[in-house]
Parts: sequence; structure tokens; C-alpha cells
Amino acid sequence: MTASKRVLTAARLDLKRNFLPHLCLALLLVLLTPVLFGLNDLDTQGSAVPLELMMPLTGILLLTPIFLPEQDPAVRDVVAVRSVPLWQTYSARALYSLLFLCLLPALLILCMGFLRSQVTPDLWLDAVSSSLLLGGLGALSYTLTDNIAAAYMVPVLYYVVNFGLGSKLGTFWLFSAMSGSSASKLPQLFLGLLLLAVSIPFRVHEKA
Amino acid sequence: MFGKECKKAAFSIPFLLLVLVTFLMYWSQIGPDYLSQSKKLTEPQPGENYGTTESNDPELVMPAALDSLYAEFTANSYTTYPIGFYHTVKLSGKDTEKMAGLLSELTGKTPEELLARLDTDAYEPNSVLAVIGEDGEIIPTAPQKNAQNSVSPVPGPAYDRFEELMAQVDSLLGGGSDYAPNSLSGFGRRAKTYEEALADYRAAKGIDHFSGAHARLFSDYMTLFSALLPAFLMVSECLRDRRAKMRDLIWARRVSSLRIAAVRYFSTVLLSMLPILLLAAVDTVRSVFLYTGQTVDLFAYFKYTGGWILPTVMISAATGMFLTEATDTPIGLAVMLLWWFLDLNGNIFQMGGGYAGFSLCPRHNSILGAQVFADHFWALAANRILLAALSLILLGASALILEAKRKGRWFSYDSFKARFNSRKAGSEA
Repeated sequence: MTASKRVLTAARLDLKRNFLPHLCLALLLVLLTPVLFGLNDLDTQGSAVPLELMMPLTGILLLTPIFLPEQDPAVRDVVAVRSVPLWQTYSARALYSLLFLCLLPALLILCMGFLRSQVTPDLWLDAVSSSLLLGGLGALSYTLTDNIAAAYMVPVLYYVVNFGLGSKLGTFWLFSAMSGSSASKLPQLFLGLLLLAVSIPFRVHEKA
Repeated sequence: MFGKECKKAAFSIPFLLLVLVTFLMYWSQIGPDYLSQSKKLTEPQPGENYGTTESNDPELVMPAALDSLYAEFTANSYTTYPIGFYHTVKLSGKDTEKMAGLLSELTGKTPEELLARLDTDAYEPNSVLAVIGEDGEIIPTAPQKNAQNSVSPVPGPAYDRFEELMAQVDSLLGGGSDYAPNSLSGFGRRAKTYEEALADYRAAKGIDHFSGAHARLFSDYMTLFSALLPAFLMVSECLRDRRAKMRDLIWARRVSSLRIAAVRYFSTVLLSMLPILLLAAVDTVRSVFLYTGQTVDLFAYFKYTGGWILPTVMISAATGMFLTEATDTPIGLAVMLLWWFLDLNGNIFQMGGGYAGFSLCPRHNSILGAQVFADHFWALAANRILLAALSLILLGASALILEAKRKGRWFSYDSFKARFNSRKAGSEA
């Protein structure tokens, strides 16, 4: 079996056995959104409300647990000696998590479009950026603390703090669009990617 | 055993984060300013600006409410907040006719005249529908109405009849609109009179003894974070033994499951309350200095911390414990976050007190309103007692689950996952 095929097989099995519960929870969140919010006939600013309040939480659900299957050091040691390098396993997990992270807001935006709300590609990019920021925070927190509760705590508290500190957070304010700001959220996207990218080698070389 | 558990939890990362966030939130949300000279409660003097208040004055409420309703009717776009979240309601043809009928009785125009005005420009372009407030809550704003669309209430109808019709309007919109009878006073906002301001001050002096007013505001803010933080600490403690592979060793001991669960639970509650109690003590001293020469209630902060904040901490920890023991996963965090989120938004119409319903974080986001607090005290007390009782029930349930696990009788997520994966592996083979 070639190296790429091994990685794909590992990713497929991982997706089925480890990732599914987290994906189901994220899907549940997306399905809950039309129950909590009215999604019909919203203008652009109104459309940002459900997207900015709910979508960042999918980042926490999908990216924070990417290192969770190897939380037991014994399991980690076994996985580390497999033919698929650990960093490739983690990267594959991060990639398919990112894929769903992009798909879920797209799904919601499509529904909103059908319900005659004014949605734009920028709203999708904003949702992905915020999700990535919180997810990257969660992944790095888990790497640094090795404690799943603390790992979830950091991005959740950042989300909560956004309600209070608001515009003081500048370009890292999660709820800017629904408050009328047109500031780009690309800094959140880049920071999220950076945090995620840094967490993988950290985790691989931890206790090496 | 209790001491050891407290010591272990006190040196954990979640607890350190809990302390850090508690102080950070206190500093950023309440701020040391709230007990400064500028925020001191002083006796109002005649001729000052006393702020605004809501009223049920028909002469104010009726024209404003009708104006808003007519603007929404012509655009066929109604803003509601059925569970605290923003909804836009568009009525069907049949419901629009019903609405026209209600408006007809309110304005004196015929339904045909009203229906002819549908889809005309009711709002100014780019009207803002909601903004984020200082506390992070979503504040609906009234869209700017087109000056050409205007109606007045028919002179004569009793306010009771007006309220009945508005209740029907609210029902037609699915509830949660500004036209609900208990929300109509929002249309009657006016300047507060000297007598009303004096009554507020006397209530703050007589009922709150000044420190109680500040303590209530302290509790309002601190409860918001106390609803989430203990759950993280509790989940971490519950999963720690499994992670450290100490489970079997602990479960083999003679100590009862109830004792294990209770020790873990109460140590988490105590540690979660510690930073809040410290802040309460500091602010008690500050309030004494702020109101030098006046009688303050030295125990106000502790009474509010125990009666207002503690039940929220208890239910947060109990929910985290119960769901973690039941599933061996941190799903309790997701549940608490969702509950907190729904509660935060569901309470936006009760920021000044009221404490109705099964609220996780009762709100009273004002230094004033002592009379509101006194009038609704038993509603608040019932809410707090209910949450505390529920948390003890969840503690008991957690102990039962732990007992079942120790006897090998509990269906956990791990065993489900193992069975699912082995079945799939078998079928693939």
C-alpha cells in the first residue's frame, strides 16, 4: 500500500470511529439554528445574527478534539509507531474537520438563501473565519494543557467574552457583522490557521 | 477526603482558568467604578434629570404602539423575540386580513383601506434592526418609519380593550412581540419625575441599605459567568480519574458512591465560589467606605452571593457531573453552554428584574429597582430554591450512576463505541 493510500485509509477509519460523534453534535447545532432563529426574509445584517452566534461553536466542536483519540499515552505510543506518521494523522484530521467547518455554514447559508434572506459569500467567509479561530484556540489549548475540559474552556470563554467586551476586541470580535461593522474577518482566519498549524507539531513532539 | 479533593482541584488548570476569568470578567464587566463616587446613590434634588422610565400611560403607549404596528403591517414584516432571539414574521394572506381587521378597530380605517397600503415603503432604507448593547445583549431598535405612512388611534376605546386587541396581535404573530400586554410599557417611555426618583432612593435606603443595591448588580453580572465556569471544573474532575487510570483503584475502595460524588461535587462548588466570595468581601469594605456615615448592610454581598449566585453554581456543577458520569464524555459542557445561551437571550426583556420562570441567571441589571426586587422576591426565591433542589437531585442521580458503574451495570459511551467498532470491523472482515 502506498503512503498516501495508508493515510487515506487511516483518515477514513478515524472519521468513522472517532470523528462521527463530534460531527453529529455540530450538525445538531446547525439544525437547531432555524429553531432558535427566524431565517426568512432577513437583510444582510439580520442574516449575520444566526451565523455569527452559532457557527463559531462548530469550530470548537470539530477542531478541539482532533488530538483526543490519543489522550491515553499508551494509545499514543502505539499510534506513533505505525507506518503513518503521527503528524500526517493529525493533519488528515485537521483537513477533514476544516472541510466540514466550511460545509456547515455553506449549508445554513443555502437554506437562508432559499428562505429569501440576503446572504453573501462574505458571510460564509466570516462564519468560517470565526469557527477557525475558536477551533484553533481549542486545539492549541488541548496541546498545551492535555486536559479536555480546559481545552473546551478557552474557546468557549473567548466566545462568552465577546458578548461583554464587544468592539474592544477589534478585528477579533466575533459578532461584528451583526452589529453593522463591515470589517474583514480574515485576521481571525489567519490566526485560527496559525494556531491549528502550531498545535500539530507541538502535539507530535510532546513528551518525545 | 474532602480536603484532598479540594487540594487536587485547586491546582488544576481549569480552576486556575476559572479564577483568572472570574477576576477578568469582574474587572471588565462590573469594573471597580460601580462602587465609586460617581455611582453612589444620593438623594435626588428637584429640577435634576432623573433618567427615563417605562409607563402604561395610554396617551403615550397607544399612539407609539399603533405607529409601530402600522409600519410593520404596511411592510408585512414584524419583529418578534419568541425565545429571546430575533425573528422576522411575514403573515400569510389570511392572517394579514385578520391583522387588518384588528388594525381597523384600532385606527378607524376600513380593512380595505389598510390592505391597499400593503407593500408601501413603511421603513426608511437601511434601517438598523438590532445592535449589540454594552453588556453584549442584542437590543432591538425600531426601524425609521416613512413619514408619509401615519395613523392615529381611534379616540374613545378603553385601554383595556386596546390591550386585548394588542394581545390578539401578539398571538397572531406567534408571541414574543412588543405588542404583548406585559411589553406595551416599552412604548410608554418617558422622563422620570422627582417623586419617582425620590421613591427609588428611599427604597434603596430602606430596603437595600445601599450596599444591597450594589450587591444585586454584582450578583447580576457574576451569575452570568458562574453558570458556565463550574461545569468545566466539574467535568475535568470527573474525567480525571479515568485519564489517570485511577478509576479501578478508587472504585475498589470501601467508600460509598454517594460519598465520592458528594465530596467531588461540594469541593467543586466551594472552589467555584471562592473567588466570588473574595470579591464580595472586598466590595463590602468598599461599600462601607463609599457610604461613610450612613447605615449599610454589612452582609448584603454575602446574602446575595449565597442566595442569588450559589444556586446557579450548584446547578452548573451538578449538570456537568451528571452528564459526565452518565456518558463519560464532556457533553455536559455543550449542554450547559446551550442552556446558558438560551437563558441569556431569553432574559433580555427582564433586565430590570421580574425573575419570572425557570431562569438559570436571573437578571437585575440596575442599581435601582429595590421595590421591584421586593415585589418579586418570592418569585426569585422559588426559582433559586428550585435550582438548588434540582442540583441535589442530579447529585443523587450521579451517585446512583457511579454505583452502577462500580458494579459493572452501566452502559457507557466507551462500551458502546467498542461494540460499534468491533461490529463494524467484523462486518468489514
